[in-house]
Amino acid sequence: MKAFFLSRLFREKILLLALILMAAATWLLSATHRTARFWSQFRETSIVLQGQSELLAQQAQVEADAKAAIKYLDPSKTFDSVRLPAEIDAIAHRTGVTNLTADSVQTERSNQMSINSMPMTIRNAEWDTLKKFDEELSKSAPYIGIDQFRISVANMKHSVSMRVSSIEIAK
Amino acid sequence: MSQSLPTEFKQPTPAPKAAGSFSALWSRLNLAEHLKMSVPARKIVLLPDSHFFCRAVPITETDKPAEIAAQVELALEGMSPFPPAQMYHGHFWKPGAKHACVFAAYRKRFTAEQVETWSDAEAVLPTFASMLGASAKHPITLLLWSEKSLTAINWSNMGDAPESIVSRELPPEPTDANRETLRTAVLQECGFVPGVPVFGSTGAVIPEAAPHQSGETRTILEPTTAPKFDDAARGDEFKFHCSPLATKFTREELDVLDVRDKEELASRRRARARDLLLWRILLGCFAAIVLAAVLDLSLIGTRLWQKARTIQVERQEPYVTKILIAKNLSLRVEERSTKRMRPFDMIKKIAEKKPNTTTFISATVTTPNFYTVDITAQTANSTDIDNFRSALSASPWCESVDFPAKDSRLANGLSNFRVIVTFKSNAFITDP
Repeated sequence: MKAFFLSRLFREKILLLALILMAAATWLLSATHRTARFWSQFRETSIVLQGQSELLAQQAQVEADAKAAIKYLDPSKTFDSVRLPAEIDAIAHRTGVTNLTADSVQTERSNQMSINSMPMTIRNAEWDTLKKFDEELSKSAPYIGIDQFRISVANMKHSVSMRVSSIEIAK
Repeated sequence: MSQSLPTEFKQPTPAPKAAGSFSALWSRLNLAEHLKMSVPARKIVLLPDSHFFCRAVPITETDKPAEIAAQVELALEGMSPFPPAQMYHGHFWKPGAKHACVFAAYRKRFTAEQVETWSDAEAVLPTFASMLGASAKHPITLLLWSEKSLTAINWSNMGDAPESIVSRELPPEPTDANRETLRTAVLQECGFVPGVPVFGSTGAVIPEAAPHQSGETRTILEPTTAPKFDDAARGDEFKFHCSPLATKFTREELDVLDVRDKEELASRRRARARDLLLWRILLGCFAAIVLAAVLDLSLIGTRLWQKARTIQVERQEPYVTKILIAKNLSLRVEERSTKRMRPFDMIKKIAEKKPNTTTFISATVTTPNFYTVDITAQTANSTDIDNFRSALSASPWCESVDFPAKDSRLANGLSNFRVIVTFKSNAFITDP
C-alpha cells in the first residue's frame, strides 16, 4: 500500500489523500456524534434504572410509612371525590360565600389512600366572609386542607383562587 | 583453461516510447490504467563501470555522512581534472572506515537521451557500486563481468572501502582469449602474483585463495551473473544480487552512491520527505476510519444492550410510579397531620406591621412552603418600604423577609414591590 501510494504522481497523492481525509473526517465526526448521543442516552437510562432500583428497594418502607401516616386518621371522617365538593359547598353556604366556582376533582390514588384535589375560586367577597370560610374549613383539618392559595384585591373586593384537597382512606 | 562470458549481465533495455502524440496523450489520460492498484517496479539504473574512475580517499573518522560527503568532494576536486560540477560522482563509505571509495565520470560521457531515462529512477550508480556493500570474513577480490568490460573490486580489509577498483574494457566482439587476457591483466593490476592459475571452471564461482603481492592469499570471487537489482523486497531496502553475493542498501546509503546532480538529489530527498509526510497523514486517516468503524460496530452491540435496558425501564415504570405516588401521598398526609396553611392569619400578622401608605394587591401561599407568603404591594411613599422591612424583621414570628429588587418598580407615583415573608414554625402555636 505504501509503495502504491508513494509511486503515484504528486497530484494523485494529494487527490487520494484529500478524498480519504474527507471520508475519514466525515465518518469519524458522525461516529463521534452518534457515540456521544448514544452515551448520553445510555447514562440517562443508567440514572433512571438506578432511581427505579432504589425506589423498588424502598417499596416495603414506603408501604410502612403510608400505614403510619394514616394510623391516626379516622376513615369515616375522610372525604372521597364526591363528598369533597359537597362539603365545600356546605361550608360556603354556612359562611355566606356566594360567588364560588369549583372545577372537577382530581384524584391521586395509592393502595392505602387517595388525595382528592379541587381547584376553586371565590370572587368579590368580603375579607370577613373569606376569613370565616377559612375558619370553617380548618375545622375539617386534617381531612380537608388548602394546598394553594392566592388572594387579590380590586375595588375593595377580594378574589381568592385556591386548591383544596381531601384525604380518602381505602376501606 | 577455457572461459566463457557470464550470460546474465546485460543491462535492462528501456521500454519503447509510445508512438505518436495521440497515443501518448491517451495513455496519460487512461485513468483505469493510471489508478490501477499495481505498483510500478522501482527502477535502478546501473551504468557501465568503464565510464568511471575510482579512488580510495582517506577520511577523518566521523559518524556524520554530511561531513564525509564534504571531505569526498574536496578530495575529488584535488584529484580530478574536471571540476565536480562537470562530473557525475558518488562515493561509498562504511561507518568507522578510514577510507571512502569515490567514483566519478565526466558528464559528457553520457548522452542527453541516456540522462533523460534517469529522471524516474530511484538511483543511478555504476554497476560495481551495487556490490560495494558486500561482506565476507576474509578480504576478497570480486570480478564483475559485463558485456563490454571487466571490473575488479579489490578489498584488503572488508571493514573499509575497497583498496582499488579496476575496470577495463573488452575489445569489440571479444573472444574467450581476449577475456582471459583481460582477466589476467586486471588481476595483476589488483596485485595478484603473475602466472599463478587462479581460474576455476568456466563461468563458475571461484572461491579460490590466490597469492597476492601483499604476501597473503586472497579469495577471488567471480560471480556467474552480473549484479542485478532485486525489486522483490519492498519498503526502503534496496537489494542487489550477484550470486553468491548479495548486498543491501538503505535509501540513505543509496543516495550516497547515486551519481546524479547533488542538488537534484537534495530536491528528491525533500520530495521523499514530503511524500512520507503525506503517507503518514494517510495512515492517520486510515486510523481514523478504523476508529470510526470500531465506534460504529461497538454502537451496534451496545444498542442491543441499551434496548434491553430500555425495556426493563418501561417494565418497571408502572411499579415505580405506584411507589412514587404512595410515597408522595404519605408525605402529604403526614404533612397535613402536622401543618395547616393559614393564609389569613399570616396576612393579618403582616398587615399589622405595614405602614399606612402601603396597600396589599395580592398574596400567594403554596405547598410545601406552608409558612411562606408572597405578597405584592404598593406604596405612595417609597421610604416606607424600608420601614416595613425593619418592622417585619424585628417581629418575633418572622424567620426571614425578602424584598426582591428585580420585582420593584415605580409607576404613576406609586412604588410597586414584592415581599416574601417566612414565618417561624411556632408562630401560630398560641392561636390555634
